[in-house]
Amino acid sequence: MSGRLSWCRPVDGQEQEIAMSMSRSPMCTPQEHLWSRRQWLGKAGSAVAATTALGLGVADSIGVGTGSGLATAAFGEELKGLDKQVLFVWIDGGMSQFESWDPKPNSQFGGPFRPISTSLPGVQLCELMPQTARQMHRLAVVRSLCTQDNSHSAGVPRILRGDPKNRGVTYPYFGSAVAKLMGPGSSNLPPYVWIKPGSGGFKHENAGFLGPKYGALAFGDGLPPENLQRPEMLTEDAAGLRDELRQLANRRYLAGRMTTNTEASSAVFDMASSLLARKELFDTSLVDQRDIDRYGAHEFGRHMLLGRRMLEAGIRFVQVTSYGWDTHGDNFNGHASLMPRFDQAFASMIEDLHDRGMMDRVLVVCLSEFGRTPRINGQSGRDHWPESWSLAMSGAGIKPGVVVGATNEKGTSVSTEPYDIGHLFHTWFKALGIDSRQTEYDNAGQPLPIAHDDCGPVADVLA
Amino acid sequence: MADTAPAVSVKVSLKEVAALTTDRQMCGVRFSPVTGLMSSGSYDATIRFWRKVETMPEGESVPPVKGAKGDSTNGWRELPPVTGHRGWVEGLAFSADGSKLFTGDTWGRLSCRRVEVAEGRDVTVSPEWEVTDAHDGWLREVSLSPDGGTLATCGRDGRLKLWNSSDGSLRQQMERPGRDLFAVRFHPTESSVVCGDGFGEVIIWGTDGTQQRTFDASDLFLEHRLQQVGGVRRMVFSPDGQTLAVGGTRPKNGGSVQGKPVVLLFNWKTGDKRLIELGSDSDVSVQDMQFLSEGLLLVVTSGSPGTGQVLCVDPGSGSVLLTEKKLANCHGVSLSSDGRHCVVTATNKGSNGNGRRLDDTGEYPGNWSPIHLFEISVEQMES
Repeated sequence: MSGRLSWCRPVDGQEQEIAMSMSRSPMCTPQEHLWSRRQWLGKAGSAVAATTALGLGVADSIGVGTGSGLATAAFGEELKGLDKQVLFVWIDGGMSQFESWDPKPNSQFGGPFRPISTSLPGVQLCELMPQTARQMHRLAVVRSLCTQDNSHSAGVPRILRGDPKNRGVTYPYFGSAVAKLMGPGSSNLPPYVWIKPGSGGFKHENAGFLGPKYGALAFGDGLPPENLQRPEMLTEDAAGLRDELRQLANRRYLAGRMTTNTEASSAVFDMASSLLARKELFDTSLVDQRDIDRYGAHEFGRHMLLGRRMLEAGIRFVQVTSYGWDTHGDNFNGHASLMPRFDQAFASMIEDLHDRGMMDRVLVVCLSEFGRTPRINGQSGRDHWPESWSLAMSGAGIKPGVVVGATNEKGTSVSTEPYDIGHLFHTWFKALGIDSRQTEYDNAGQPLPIAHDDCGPVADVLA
Repeated sequence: MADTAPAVSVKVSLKEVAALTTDRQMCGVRFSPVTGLMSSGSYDATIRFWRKVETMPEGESVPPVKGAKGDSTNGWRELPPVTGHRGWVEGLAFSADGSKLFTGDTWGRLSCRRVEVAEGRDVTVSPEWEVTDAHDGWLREVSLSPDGGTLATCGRDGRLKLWNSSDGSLRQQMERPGRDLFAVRFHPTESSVVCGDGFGEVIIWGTDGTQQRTFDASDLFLEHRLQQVGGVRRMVFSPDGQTLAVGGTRPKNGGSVQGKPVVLLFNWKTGDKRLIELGSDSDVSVQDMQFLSEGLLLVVTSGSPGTGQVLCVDPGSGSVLLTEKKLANCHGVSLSSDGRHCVVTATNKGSNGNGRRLDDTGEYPGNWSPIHLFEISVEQMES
């Protein structure tokens, strides 16, 4: 525990809280992140003052006293980002860069498909994404990703946590990070929702050291949490009284106890209440049939359309996941089936965000845990490939209509400056108005960078 | 189906007579009716030819085949590749006399080339006609009518097209919007052409373009998450036209597709169906089939990387008479004109792997298709 800070002596209220947080923490604090008491208090204190003075209702925008908070020297940067939102489209298993963002027609590993022109002169995409090609002038594609892990089990969390330097803590997923750094916003809806196939629930593990309350509220198959609706036999007044009783019990329990789990439990109740007030979000009868047709009646189309409605409602971070992209076998027929459905829903989303004037505030990110091998295996499949792959972005803080980086002629390596996931985390934070160099987490007194120390943003995609 | 069944107690064996090395992956090889010539479409948009010669020209080297002893090529020599296509060349069919080769690629181009075979090793291949946009994208298969006058093609654009094989003019076009048409075959004796789609439906049309009926091959299809998996991947008629064999997989999942290889045998008259499973879930899918003159069905499968089968099935009893598992990921099988030899395109061992694996020279390697030639022996035994 070399990181125990000598200044954690209770002096005033804030320091008392800090000391409590420290004493609860099982984590080490690396030597390189030792801050002086004066530095820390100066930065955090000014952030508190700024929040109070502006009367912001942003929950937990700084973390003093919460056990795992946020220390920042550039709080003004955060304020700029407070109205920003994120749509995070996760293609689980690995979309082939050849059959999508970085076609290599008529090359050894190029595969069977044709390239097509896009709305961005000189830029081609795979023929399987004609609708996205028409939105290319609104997208930024990075074709020079080179990441570190070629396994799903390690690669998924590594990408979603930003692969920071190892400091003995489990970093939060990007969604949890945004929920922590930016709060729920004025919608007061859950800050981090995850629309996914299969089961739902509260995914506290996504939050890492931030604590379970920053986990993802997952809507399995796009459905609201079970038992969200108040039973008819229970009146609104009675439900309110019950909730008061619950809060009272919580307050009593909290006195002198570790708070994170109870806080998370309360946060989930609050989320349920806020969702209950917006239950129309899940009412599919209110959805325009033309939108269903445009996005597609398939799983991904329905989920993306729900994602748009969540964004319209003001939810801070919306993740939409599509499973089934691990095409080790029959990759080309697989992508011939998968990509058009992705294309339909993704392009519709970009179009709608633009038409609704939401592009200035919604950061759109679309990626997988890695790309797929250039080499085509005997089952006509492509395997896992982190060496040279692509992602797409759009919206808030992102320069529209750019392609950054390139791979070589065969697509077997990056031929320009390679970017790792750490670069992207810096880029996304920057796009959201968060200075990733100045902003740090406070992990129970342990200051931690919010993105990999050795990386920086990809300047060419930033607006 | 009893009328196509062979005599009981049949023993089938394969003896490998040649193994050829290639530098690329092949889509599927076909014997020319001209003895001693075969051809394949390739993943590099070329058409490859191999010619059997009795004596090697002086100074010509023989490419080594890994694991083979001596000259495993057995007199087969590869000729220079023929260019002109794009993407992959998946459709390939010879005319009955071997003088024409019809090829289609995944960018939708259909070509006819004249193939002239001289004495010795000389083979001249020259373009005869071409339709650059025969299909909108992936042209899946090419099939020639029994009289040789009509060429059928099908593709991912949901179209089945009939062409005049002599000049490439379009004769008939049938559509199944939203369907991926994987396989096409002419009936050997009737004026019908059958097409199999990605949803597991076999559609039977008259050559005049009228739809006649359908066969249900949905055993070969699965909707899994976003993916439509499987479908009819290959079809072949028995020589008498009484049985249509339809091949594919019975898929368990999308993504890394797993499932048992399956052949569906349809009685042409009644539409009655028999399903034959040919292996385990890791054997995955039938890739190609040919009927032997004895009425037996020769099948190749490709499964998880490294897994392949050559099988011989008795359609009458549904029993498997031969299972050969030495070859990895077999993608094509063709019979010689005398019916006593077959050629199988397979895949090199170790074709898969995550991340960057380099070869002995430090290069990122591609895969390739070993080509194996077998002598077929069918012995009918008294029961």
